[in-house]
Amino acid sequence: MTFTASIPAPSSPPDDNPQPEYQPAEIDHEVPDSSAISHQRIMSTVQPLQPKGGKNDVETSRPFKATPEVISQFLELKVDEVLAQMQSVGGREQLFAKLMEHEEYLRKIHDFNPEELRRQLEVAGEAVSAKEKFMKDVTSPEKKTVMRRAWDRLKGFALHHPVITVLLMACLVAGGYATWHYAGNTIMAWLHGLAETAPADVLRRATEAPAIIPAPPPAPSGPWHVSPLPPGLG
Amino acid sequence: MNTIYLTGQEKRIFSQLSDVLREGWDIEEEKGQFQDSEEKLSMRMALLRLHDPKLLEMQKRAVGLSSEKLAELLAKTSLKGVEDDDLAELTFAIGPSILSKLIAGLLLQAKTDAELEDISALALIRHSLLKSYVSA
Repeated sequence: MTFTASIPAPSSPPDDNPQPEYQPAEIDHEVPDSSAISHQRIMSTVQPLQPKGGKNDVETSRPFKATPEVISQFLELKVDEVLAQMQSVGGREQLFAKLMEHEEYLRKIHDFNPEELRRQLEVAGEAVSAKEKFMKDVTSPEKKTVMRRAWDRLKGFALHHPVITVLLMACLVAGGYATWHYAGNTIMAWLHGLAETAPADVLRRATEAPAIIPAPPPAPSGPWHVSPLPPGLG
Repeated sequence: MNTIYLTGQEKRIFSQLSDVLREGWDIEEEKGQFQDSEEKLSMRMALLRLHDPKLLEMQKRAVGLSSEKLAELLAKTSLKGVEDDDLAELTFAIGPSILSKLIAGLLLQAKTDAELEDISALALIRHSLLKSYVSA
């Protein structure tokens, strides 16, 4: 199967270990030929997205990204401790204060801004809290049956809605980079592009479609950053 | 699963489906709202925690692949056998905005009851996601 579309190839992970040659996935190759054709069609309609930058950005701009992993390693705390602290205002303040003890060092090796850090911690806190609530909700005994049916539908999407499966897999790939990197606008834009491609066949059928499709997130203003390993730990 | 959570605009599209197709479905208005951004999406990605060895293997394998090979890898995978918890992780990472795009598209092309069940599943997941952000 050959795809003509360009998909953003994220940069190497922080350790720059050589990656093994691509081998066909051993995991479920169960997409039938008809779906494979759909994949090809879908992929070919995705607009190529070029990273705005690349390795050179590592040399020029290294923003500090306050992910749980980064903070965990920087402050030598367990990730679970960081996640717990991120969920409360007081906890975030503590993390901020502890990180600010290393402000000089952070400024030395990162494009570091205390206000930006504070804002990132707020964003992280919102996401961590929401995730905990979501996971608790979908795994609650009251919802077990109905959610099981929903997940089962999702698992069958490879046959009927291949692009959604591709989207989830793309999310999986993006997640692999986002732990340490700014995943950047490239793959993020691609995820949105895929989501827009999914209904492409039917948009022509309804004029009201554009109105119900949420606007894409605002275009990022900065370059495509790559964040190095947390300072002082590599 | 006979309930579909739809936004006001999605409800209008649903109302244009045939009577036969709409029969038996209860529509609940989705009132939840969420403004996504690159940063929020990136942070959700950073919180992704997967356990399925196959998914983890794929995640590793994807690093550094060329565009073409990454596309090939993605297209060859399915979610069969993936644990529900991992699916929950992935859908949280994707977030409600992207799910809304998918729901809108699927709704516009819905022709069968099975397709409405697919929509219902995605809308239920979105509903839970939006609820989780209400008091986050």
